[in-house]
Amino acid sequence: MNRLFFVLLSSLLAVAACKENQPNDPVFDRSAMLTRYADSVLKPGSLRATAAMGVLLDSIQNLRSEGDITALQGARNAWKKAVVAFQEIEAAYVGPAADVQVQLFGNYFPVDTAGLKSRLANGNWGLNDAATLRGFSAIEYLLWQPGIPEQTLAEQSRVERGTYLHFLNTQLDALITEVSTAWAGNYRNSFVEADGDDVASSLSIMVNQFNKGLDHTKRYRVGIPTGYTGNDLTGPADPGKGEGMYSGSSALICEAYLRAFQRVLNGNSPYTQGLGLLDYADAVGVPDAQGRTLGKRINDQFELCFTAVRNTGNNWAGSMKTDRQPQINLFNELKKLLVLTKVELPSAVGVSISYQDSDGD
Amino acid sequence: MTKRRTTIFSLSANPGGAATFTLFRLAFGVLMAIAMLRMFLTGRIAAQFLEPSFRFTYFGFDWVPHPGNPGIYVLFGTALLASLLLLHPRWFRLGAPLFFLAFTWIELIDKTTYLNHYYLVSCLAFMLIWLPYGGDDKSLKRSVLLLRLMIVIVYLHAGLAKIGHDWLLEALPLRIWLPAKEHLPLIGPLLAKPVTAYLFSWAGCLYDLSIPFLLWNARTRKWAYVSVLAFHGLTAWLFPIGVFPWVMAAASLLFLDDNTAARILSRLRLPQRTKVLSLAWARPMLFLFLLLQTLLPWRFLLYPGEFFYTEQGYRFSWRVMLVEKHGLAEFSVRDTLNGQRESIRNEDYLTPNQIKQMSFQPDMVLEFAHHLGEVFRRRGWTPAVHADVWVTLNGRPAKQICDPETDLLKVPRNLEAYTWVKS
Repeated sequence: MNRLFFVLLSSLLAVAACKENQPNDPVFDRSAMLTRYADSVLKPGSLRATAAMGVLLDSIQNLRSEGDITALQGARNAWKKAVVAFQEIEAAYVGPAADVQVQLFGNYFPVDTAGLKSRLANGNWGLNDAATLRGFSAIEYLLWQPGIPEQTLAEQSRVERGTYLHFLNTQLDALITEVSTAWAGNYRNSFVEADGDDVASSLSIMVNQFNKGLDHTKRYRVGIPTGYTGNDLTGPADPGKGEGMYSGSSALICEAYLRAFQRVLNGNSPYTQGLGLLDYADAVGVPDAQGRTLGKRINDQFELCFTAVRNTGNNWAGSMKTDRQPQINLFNELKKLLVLTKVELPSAVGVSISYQDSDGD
Repeated sequence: MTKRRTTIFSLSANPGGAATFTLFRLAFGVLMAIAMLRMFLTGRIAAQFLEPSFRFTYFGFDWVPHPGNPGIYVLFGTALLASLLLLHPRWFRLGAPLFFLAFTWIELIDKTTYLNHYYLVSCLAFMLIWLPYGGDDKSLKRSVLLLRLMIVIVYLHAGLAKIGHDWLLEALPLRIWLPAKEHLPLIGPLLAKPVTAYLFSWAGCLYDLSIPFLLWNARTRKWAYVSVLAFHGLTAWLFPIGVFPWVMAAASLLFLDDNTAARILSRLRLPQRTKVLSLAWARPMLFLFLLLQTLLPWRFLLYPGEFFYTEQGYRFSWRVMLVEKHGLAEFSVRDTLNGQRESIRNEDYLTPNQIKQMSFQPDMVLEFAHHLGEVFRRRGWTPAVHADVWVTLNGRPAKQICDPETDLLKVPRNLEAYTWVKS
C-alpha cells in the first residue's frame, strides 16, 4: 500500500514533468504579470497623472497672468483632465500611493467651503491645512465657486485667488510627484521582486488594495450623496456631499475611475493590453455554470456600471434632488461589481490574506 | 469489544510500550515549546489576543475570561514552561495538566484563531494528563493504543471528508491554491497545472485513509514513516500551516514499536520511562473521550441546509484544506423606534483577521451582530441588526447567504439549525 503511494507520487511528478514539455499547456507567468504591472500599467499611470498635473500648473499660471475668461476655461479644462488622469493612481492604490495616502490628501470631498472662503479672504493658508482643504476638490471650488460670476473669478485669479490656487496646485503636484518618483526609483524593483503569494506579496497587496478604491467609490462618490447609509437608502439626496459637484463632473470622474480600475484589473493601460489579475484568475480559476470565467463576468459587470454611470448625466447637483433613480441604479451595479472583485477575485487568485496559520492537511 | 481491540492490537508484531510513550512525550514537549516560543517571537500574542477589542467565543464557553495584559503573556509563559516540564520523566505529571489547561484556555479565548491542529493538541494534552494509566506492560501498551486511536480518528475523518465532489472530481480547492505557488523553485511550474491538483487531491485522500494502517502494520511502518515526513514536509513547504505538519510527524512516532523507540532513546541517551499514574477509571474515561471524538465529526448530519455555507458542525471535525472561502459581510443597525440607521465599518470593531474569518462563518456573523446590538443598546437605541453577507465557496460565484431584512438580534445564539442562513 505504501508502495502504491510512492508510485502515485512519482507518477504525479512524472506526468507533470511530461506535461511541462507540451507547448500549449497554460502556465501563468506571475513574474511577467508583475513586471507588466510595474512597467506598463502602474508606473506609466503615475507618470501620466504627474504630466496632467504639470499642464494644470501651467494653465493656473496662465490664469494668474491673463485673468480672463479664456484662461479660466483653459484652467478648468486642465483641471478636468488632471482629475481624470489622477484616477489611474486612485484605481491602483498600492505602494507609494497608499504610503502617502494620495486619496485622502489628493482628492478629499466634500471640501470645507467655509474654511476655503476664510483662507481666501485673509490670505492665511499653510502646508498643515487639513485634508478637507486640499486637493482636486479645493482647486475645483476655487475655479467654480458658486455665486460668483466667471468674469470675477477670472479677475480675482490675478490676485489672491490665483495665489491660493497656485499654492494648492503645487501642494497637490508635490503629492502626486512623490508617487511617480517612488515608482521611477526603488519601488519598481521591490514590487516586481515580491512575486510570492504571502501577505506582503505584490499580488496579495494588489488584490487587497485595489478594492479600497471601489469601496470608496461606492460609499462616498455615489452612496452618500444619493442618500445611502451603508447599503440602506436612509435619507434624501445630498449632492453637497459628493465629488465634482461645482464643476458638474461627478459622472465624468466616476467613469474615469471605473475605466482606470477595469484597465488595472485587466493589466491594460490606455494604450496597451497585457497580462493582468483577471487573466491570472481565469488561468487558475473555474468557470461558472454558464461557462463564463470570472474575468468575463467582471468585465461584463463593468459594462453595466459604465452604462449606469452615463445614465446619471454629469450635473448631479442639479438632477439628483428631483430624480436620484439613476444614482440608485449605479449604486446597485457598483455593489454587484464589489462582490465580484472583493469576494470572488481574491478567492480565485488564491492569495493569502491571512495573518495567522491555516489548517493543515 | 475489548477482545476485538486486543486482536487488532496483536496484529502489530511489536506493540508500543514505555519507550514509545516516552519518545512521543519528548517530541510533543519539544514541539510545543517551539510553538509557544514562536508565538512570543513573531509578536502574534499581541496581534491575536491584545489587538482585538472584541472576541468571538465558543458557544457554552463565553465564561472563559481573557487574562488581559500582561496576563496573556503569563498564560503563554505558563504553556511554554509546562511544555518544557513535559520533557522530564517525573515533572511531566505536573506539566501535562498545566499545559492542557494553559493551552486550552488560550484556544478558548477567541475562536477566530481556531485551527483543527490546535484542537488536536488540546485533545492529546488532555489524554497525556491520565497516561500511562498503569505501570505494567499491558497498561503501557494500552496507553499507547489509546493515543494511536486518537491519531487514527484524525486521519480517517480527514480522509473521509475528502471523499466528495469538489475534492475528488474538481480538485478544488487545490486547483485554486497550488497555482499560487507557481513561484517556488523546481516544482513551481508543475503546481500551476490542473493535473497536479488532481494528483495531489487523490493522493492526499488516499494518504489520509491509508496512513494510519500503514503505520500500524510492522511490515510497512518504516516506509510509511518516510512518506509521513515527505507528505507533511511538502505541505509545510506549500501552505502556511504553522506547526501542524510537525505535530503529525511527532504523532506518527506513536506507531513505532517499543524496541525501535527504545533504540532511538538510548542512542540519544534519554531516559526510557515516564512516571506512571495509577487511575483505574482513566481507561474507560479515555475510551468515552475517544468515542466522543468519533461522534463529534458526524454531528453535521443533524443539521439541514448546505453544510459548507452554514458550517454547523464544521469545527472539531478534522475537515482540513477542504474549502477556499471568502466573504464580504456588511452590517447596519436600525433604531426600531425612530428608523434611524447606521452602517457599520467592521474595522472599527474588529481586526483584519477577525473580519476575514467572520465574513464567511455564519456563527461569527451572528455573534458580531449580537455584539453590535449590545453596543447600540448602550447608546440608548432599540436596535435591529441586519447583515448583507456574500460568500464564495471553492471559486463558485458569490452567493448571498442570508436575508438582509432579517433582524439578527431576533435569532438566538444556540445550537439549533440556522434557518436564517439561505441554502
